[in-house]
Amino acid sequence: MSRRILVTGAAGALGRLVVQMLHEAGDRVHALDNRREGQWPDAVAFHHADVRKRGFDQALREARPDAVIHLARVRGFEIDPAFRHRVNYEGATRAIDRSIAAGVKKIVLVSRHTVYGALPDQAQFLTEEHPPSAGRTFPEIHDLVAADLYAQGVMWRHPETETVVLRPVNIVGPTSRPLLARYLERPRTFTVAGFDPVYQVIHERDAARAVVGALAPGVRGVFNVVGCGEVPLSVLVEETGGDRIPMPEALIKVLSGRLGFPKIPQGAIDFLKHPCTVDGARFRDETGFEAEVGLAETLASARSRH
Amino acid sequence: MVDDEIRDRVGRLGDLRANPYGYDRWGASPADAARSLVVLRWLYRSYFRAESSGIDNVPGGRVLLVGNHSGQLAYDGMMVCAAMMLDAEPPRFVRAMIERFFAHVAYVNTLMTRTGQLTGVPANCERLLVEEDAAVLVFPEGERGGGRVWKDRYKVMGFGQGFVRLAMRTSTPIVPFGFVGGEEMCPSFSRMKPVARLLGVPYVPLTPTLLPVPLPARVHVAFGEPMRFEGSGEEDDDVVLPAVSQVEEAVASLLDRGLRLRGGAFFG
Repeated sequence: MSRRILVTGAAGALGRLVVQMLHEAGDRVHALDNRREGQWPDAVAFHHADVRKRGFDQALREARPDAVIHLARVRGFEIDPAFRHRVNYEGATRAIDRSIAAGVKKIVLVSRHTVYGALPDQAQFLTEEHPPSAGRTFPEIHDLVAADLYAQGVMWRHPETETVVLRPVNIVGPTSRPLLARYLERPRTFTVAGFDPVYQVIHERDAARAVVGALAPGVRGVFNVVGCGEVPLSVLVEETGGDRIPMPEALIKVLSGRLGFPKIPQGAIDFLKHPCTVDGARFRDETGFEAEVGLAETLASARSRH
Repeated sequence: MVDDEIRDRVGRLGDLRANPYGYDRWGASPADAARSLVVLRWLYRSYFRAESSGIDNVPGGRVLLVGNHSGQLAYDGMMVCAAMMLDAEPPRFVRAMIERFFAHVAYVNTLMTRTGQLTGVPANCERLLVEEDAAVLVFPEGERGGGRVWKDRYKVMGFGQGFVRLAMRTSTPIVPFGFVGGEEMCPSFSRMKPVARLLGVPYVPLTPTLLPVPLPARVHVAFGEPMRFEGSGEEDDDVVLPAVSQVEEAVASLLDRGLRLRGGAFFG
């Protein structure tokens, strides 16, 4: 039986892959985005709307979805923090609330493993029980942590709706441009001298498969999603074809946002110093999900952009 | 540099397996472990003229190595790792639970990660024991022991309970050891608390060499018989504390044995 599924942020890299996968599986897909770029298959209904506005409510009425996948968000630290907060927090909470009010029975919020934070005294391979602690040194991503926690509150307040929060590790691939990929695609990539944390990566195709897998009936709760393995940041930079320039942390702080250097908050520097790794066992046990793309191919897929 | 003995020893480390990029999931690298073993072997055999006794007591499979902490800069941890890689048969790779402070220090952080040493948080320790049947080195005195001053030499400074609860929960045998030599290689006469506070570190040792460069004191590592404690790890303190005392007493008597076997601190 074909499902009706509304995907927000559908024009993003992960969104397009998810829409494509659902479409190929025979689902009736409603793609929603406030960007118009790109082509959509004929069977996909595109809604040009913003999750924060009435256009989203109208899309909900038209689509009457069985499930909503919320991917819409903005990234980066150059943009106005208040705007980030409106889109990433208020947009997410509104999308969830309106979906529940419209009787949607399944909501998937795609969060990130970064909500745990990269802290020097933190364990590795964190389970979902570990409290998201990024706020301690990384207030700039408070919006993402808050949206993640809000969705968990919804699980208690609305048990009639299956709510899923996914926390995938760093997504890389030929089309994905998350912060890590944008960091890696610079021809010269700076790292913090004297530190080389372990990074977990997942291929964008596997990440999209995980999102689709979360739609399975009965799946609810918070899940880390891991890919095919982990490598030190230095290997990640070298394997993706960048020149690695280790710089003292003090110099990075001075240069941040100056002389053409990207703006990099302390919390982001921490991610270049300390590992933030997660345990994906719960999602694997619950849904049988295993990453299909190997480490070598995942790293190579990020290289192809150079 | 890396000769046949080191290659053989590191090649036989069952608990250090790397992915095709040369690293395990914690970021440890067999190649770097081999390079560091070159230095450790020189320190162990030539500089500290170290010996071990009772190392056959260390069972295969998961195990917690628990002992006294001394030496100001973790030379004791390095020497126990060296003993397990050089004297034990088959050689064992040891994961030390290190002071959280070191994670902040550039280069020290990378060196620790590459050689398989991890920030001492219980979740890391439990995962290593349960999922990798690892040999994990714990100094339950923490920096109280590491930064100890001369008047407290060879005194067990009081262990926490965490390691016993973890051993119970994960059915892990505890092998106590006494580390002899750390007190003379780096005697400290003050922890210089005010200076430490200014620098944001746990302690700053006031040593004869001014810098914490170790003197060539002779080292002996005395390993005891494995101790097993049954339980879930959720027992009341009055159940766990006697077990902690047993381990403390075992370490204290192993220190006596080690001191006897070692003889003179610098000569003999």
